[in-house]
Amino acid sequence: MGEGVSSIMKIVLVSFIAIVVLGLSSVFYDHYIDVRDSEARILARQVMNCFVPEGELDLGVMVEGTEIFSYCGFSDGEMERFFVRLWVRDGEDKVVRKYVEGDEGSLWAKKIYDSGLAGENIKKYEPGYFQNKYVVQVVDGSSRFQGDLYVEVVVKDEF
Amino acid sequence: MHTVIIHIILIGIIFALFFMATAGKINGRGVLQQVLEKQTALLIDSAVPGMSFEVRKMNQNGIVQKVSLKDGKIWIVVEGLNSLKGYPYFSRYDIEVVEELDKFVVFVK
Repeated sequence: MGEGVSSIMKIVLVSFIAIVVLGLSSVFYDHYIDVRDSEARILARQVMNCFVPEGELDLGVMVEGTEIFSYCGFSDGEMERFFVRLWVRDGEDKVVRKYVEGDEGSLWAKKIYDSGLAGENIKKYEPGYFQNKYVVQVVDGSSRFQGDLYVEVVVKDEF
Repeated sequence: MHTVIIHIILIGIIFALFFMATAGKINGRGVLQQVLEKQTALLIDSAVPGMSFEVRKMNQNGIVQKVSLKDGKIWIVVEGLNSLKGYPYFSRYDIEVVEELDKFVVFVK
């Protein structure tokens, strides 16, 4: 009986040591590759090509409340990770139109990381991000003017 | 004597399992798989209709056994390592993967 218990204890000890070393190797050799900034940049370009064909944004077609993803032909399921915001400013820097789709909470999470409040151990959960400004021709009914289109994309983690 | 032999056999089995598991981690198959899946996903994200690109089976990231698309994700089997999570892609177009003799071809339609 005593020998049996002793044998089991030895087996358990060896197994424990093996699991500890395996766990350490998992942490040491594991490496996360983050491509979400690239995804954000690609999506921004895709949305631009969709909203502003040939550099012209027609506010009569792109009405307030236009759903960005379905208008551009993306299915809802594949866009759950993304938040996209577009806004148009006229020559007087006034916002004339705004389009938003996705979870705005991810933008808030991005701001937390940018403020430096997030620790290094959760760095891999930082959302991917891209923002840019494009000069476009805006058509609003019979009027036409040069405006600035801002595109902002946030990509949540895939975990 | 019998007890010692049984101990040796059991410890040998445990170490064999342990070395098999760590070998998988140390040779970096998971990282190779991650690189392939994410590269391919980014290519699909940025592709336009009419484009196609190849994933060679004899790849610099390892031998690629399978490339498939399911549930909006790309799944690549590398060096016998099955993909557990895949990587999501997005596209407005139809994407198809065709297996050929020495490569997988991804078509964007």
